[in-house]
Amino acid sequence: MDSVFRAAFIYFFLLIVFRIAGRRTLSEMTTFDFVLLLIIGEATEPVLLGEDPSVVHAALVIITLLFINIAMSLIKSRWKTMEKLMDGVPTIIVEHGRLMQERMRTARVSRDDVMEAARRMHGIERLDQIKYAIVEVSGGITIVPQANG
Amino acid sequence: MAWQRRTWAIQRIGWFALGVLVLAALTGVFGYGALSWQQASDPAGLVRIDYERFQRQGSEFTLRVDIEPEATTGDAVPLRVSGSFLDAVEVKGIVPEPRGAKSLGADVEYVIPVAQPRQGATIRFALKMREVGSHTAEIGLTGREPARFTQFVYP
Repeated sequence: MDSVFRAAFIYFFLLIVFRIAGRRTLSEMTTFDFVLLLIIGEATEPVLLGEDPSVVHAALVIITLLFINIAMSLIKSRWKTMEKLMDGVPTIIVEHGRLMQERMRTARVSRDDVMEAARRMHGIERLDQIKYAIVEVSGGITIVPQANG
Repeated sequence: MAWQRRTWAIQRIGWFALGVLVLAALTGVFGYGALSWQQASDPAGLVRIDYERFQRQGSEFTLRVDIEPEATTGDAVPLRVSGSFLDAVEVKGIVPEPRGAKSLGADVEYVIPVAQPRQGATIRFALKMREVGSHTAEIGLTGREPARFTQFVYP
């Protein structure tokens, strides 16, 4: 019973914390982001396992985490509201070469981030070659080039 | 595609099995839960033991032994614990601290001090599960039929 509660607590706790932190927080990993993620993992471990080193306990924790994740994905596919609540929605930040400054600021995306994604995916050099730039739920930026690019 | 369908079908069954395991864990069959918390007492009804039916190797727990007022005649209670149980667990501490421990063959007799005769006593054993598998414990007053209980320890 304790294994299930520990796993469920950590799952929902991290879900809420990372939802608040925002999708851009750990999406494009710098070395430090990676280190931070490792530290978070280290800090989570004793809460999940406690003083109990047994095989059954570890197995139950893993099973509970996976089960909650599967259940959540099923819930998300059934109720779109839940999906929006947990994952957020994709946001358009560039429309026909025009930057939407206010949205970009709140989404913590800079012009440089957009141009970087444009160069990497399509070899685009200028802003007016971009039809749409979208911040996806995963935190990455998708670029749709102008048709006559 | 037929292969993929079969995989999906097996996955669905697997999800269901995961759910069943999680629910089973909530009831306490893997330790620490309503199904696991049990009581045992000796035939005379003088000793009552709160124990956990299911345990996990390496986990620590407290075994609570309640002794009825009729059994505390002198200033100490002799409590006999079976050797097979002491083989399976590691005693990390006993509260109150026993005045002494004597060997009775394979068993051990702890002499637990009590402040006043004719008053109930509660003794708590802090234990750590060492051996995997099922073991039967016998705990009781020396010279009387002991309380028996069985524990199962998961790896």
